[in-house]
Amino acid sequence: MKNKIWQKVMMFSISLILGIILVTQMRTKSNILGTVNLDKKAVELNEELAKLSIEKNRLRDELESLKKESRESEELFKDAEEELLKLKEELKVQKIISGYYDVKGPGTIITIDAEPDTYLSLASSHQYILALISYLNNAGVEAISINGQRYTNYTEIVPVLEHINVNGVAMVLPLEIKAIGDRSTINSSLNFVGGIVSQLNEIGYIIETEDSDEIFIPRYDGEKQFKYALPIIRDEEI
Amino acid sequence: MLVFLTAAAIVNGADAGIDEYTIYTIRDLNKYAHSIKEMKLLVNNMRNAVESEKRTIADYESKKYLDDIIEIKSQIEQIKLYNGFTAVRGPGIMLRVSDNINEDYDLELMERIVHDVDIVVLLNDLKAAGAEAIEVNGKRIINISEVVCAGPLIRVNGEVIPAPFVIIAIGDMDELYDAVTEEGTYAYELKKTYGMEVVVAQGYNLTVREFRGINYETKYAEIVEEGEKK
Repeated sequence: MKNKIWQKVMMFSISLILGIILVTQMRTKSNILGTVNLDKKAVELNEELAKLSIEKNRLRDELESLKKESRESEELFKDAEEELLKLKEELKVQKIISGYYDVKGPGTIITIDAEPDTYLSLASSHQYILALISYLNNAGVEAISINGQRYTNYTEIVPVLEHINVNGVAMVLPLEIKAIGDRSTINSSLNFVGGIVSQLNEIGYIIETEDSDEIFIPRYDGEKQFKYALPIIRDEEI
Repeated sequence: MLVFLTAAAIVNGADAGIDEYTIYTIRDLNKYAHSIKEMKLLVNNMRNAVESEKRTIADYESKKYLDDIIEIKSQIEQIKLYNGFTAVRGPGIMLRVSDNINEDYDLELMERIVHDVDIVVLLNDLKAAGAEAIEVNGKRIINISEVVCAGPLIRVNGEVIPAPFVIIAIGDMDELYDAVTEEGTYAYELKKTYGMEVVVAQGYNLTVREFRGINYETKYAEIVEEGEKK
């Protein structure tokens, strides 16, 4: 009797456990599978992956060509930057030569005067002033002024009566000639035996030279316009 | 009863479809999902890289200084023309000067030779007569040109030139002509007093070469900007 009850209890328990297992298993199955067909899902995902892969390849190619373009642009930009710097330097040099800009720099101041109580006609010695300028240029000076008048490409020194005109401005002794350039070259270009300074001394002028770390040379205020000369445009240097 | 339930459970388990194929498929699905996630990230990064590269290019394009270069080049051309760094043509005169080669015993040897200063004065006379461009033996004379003695030769723009000296000047033909022919002019004196050969001819279309100091540099002078005066 006791055995029979035990058997029934066991039976009940096992049935209960099996029932639970059964239900759990069914629920797990439907959880995993959901309602979507597994194969269909796999195909979809595969397609998406393929699309992404194509997009990736396209982007890679685009990026590569853009990088190449970017390198070329950078080179062009650097060339342009370099060219601009060179042009700016060239413009600066041309502006300094032109005489239409105030300039400063190290150089020499040459004072030309006559001995007291002696009379010298500046007009009749104007070729010495011209020669002096030529010898300053020989020393490679970059700017010259005569009593404040800038020596430009169109500056003439004209003897008028007993004085000289520079840029149309009348000048008498003493003359102060300023030159910006290498001071020792200037001095050796002027002061050799038989050089321009000794020639001026010979005819009675007193020459004093003074080196300076900074000389200011003013610009020429006029303006030049050509009436006769026309530029010859050449594409290439011969 | 027990046998039945156990069998049902087994059958049910087999029916659940958790077979080998399903397990692989699920594993694949997980792999795909992971790959897609990674790929999306990659593609996104690449899109950003493409955008940034495009911006870089646009940046360079906008900074190519094209306008600046054109502007500065025209400024340089203009200033070069007046500085003598450009070849020019126009009306003017051609002047040929050479030593007095006659046996002239009234004159010292040195007086019969064309000196640097003679050329300097002639050039100045031509400038005073309004010459717009001058050259001597093909060397353009500008304000930084030297005309100095170099033994039997003359040095101009760092190069030596021999006699005869051929000067070409562009400007008003008649004024230039008068400046080297009229009585009392320096050229007249060279010819009459010192017996030098001075030949002058006018021309309607003469050419004067450019200053050849292409690499001319300034090392000492600097421009003083407005308002910065000494």
